[in-house]
Amino acid sequence: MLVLTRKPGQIIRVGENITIEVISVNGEHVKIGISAPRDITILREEIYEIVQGQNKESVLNDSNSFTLAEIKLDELLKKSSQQNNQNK
Amino acid sequence: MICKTAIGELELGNDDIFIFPHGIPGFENLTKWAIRDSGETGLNWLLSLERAEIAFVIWQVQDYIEDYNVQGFSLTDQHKVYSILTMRNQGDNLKVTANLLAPVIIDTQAKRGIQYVMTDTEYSARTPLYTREEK
Repeated sequence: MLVLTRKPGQIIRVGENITIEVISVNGEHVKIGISAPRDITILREEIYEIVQGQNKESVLNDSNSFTLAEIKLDELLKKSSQQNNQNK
Repeated sequence: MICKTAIGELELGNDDIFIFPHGIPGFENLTKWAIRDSGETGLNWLLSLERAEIAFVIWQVQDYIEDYNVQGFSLTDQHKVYSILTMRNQGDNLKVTANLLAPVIIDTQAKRGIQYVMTDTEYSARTPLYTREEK
């Protein structure tokens, strides 16, 4: 890992079109500004880990649960559409 | 073509198959997926064509939550937005949650997909939809 020391207002350039600026430092909190092309995903690591974990938990690995899921979700959707209609 | 999937062998056409260039979080190396309507329920299957045992139930969320806002992503008519559902059996109870934080977005023209993780949002990866208690 490349480790650089920067002061607030100083910038790091990554490749052609990504810049990372240290905006301010306040105790434990470092405020960082990132400029990157729209197709570059920028995420807090812990959010990515939440989605990773959620996906792993969402895999349906038991063939019985497919049928079960369909039956139960059919009921769910009927119920939720009824509620929506009532709310309107 | 006939493809082996978690719900059996399926005859799939080009319209059913989507490339996710970066996979999805947790399954970053799985890039080839099929989407199949599961019948009258409005639910769909997201089926890996590379690891046939991997499948998700996905839900076309905007049909049910009209003001669902995919913040930071420019949606057009050619996109479809799905939410991955999580089903947990707790004893006899089935608990269903939807991942509204990270919708699966399909580009129906380019035949590409992404699981888009929103950055600044109130949406949860475990939005409760349903808990059923059986006796």
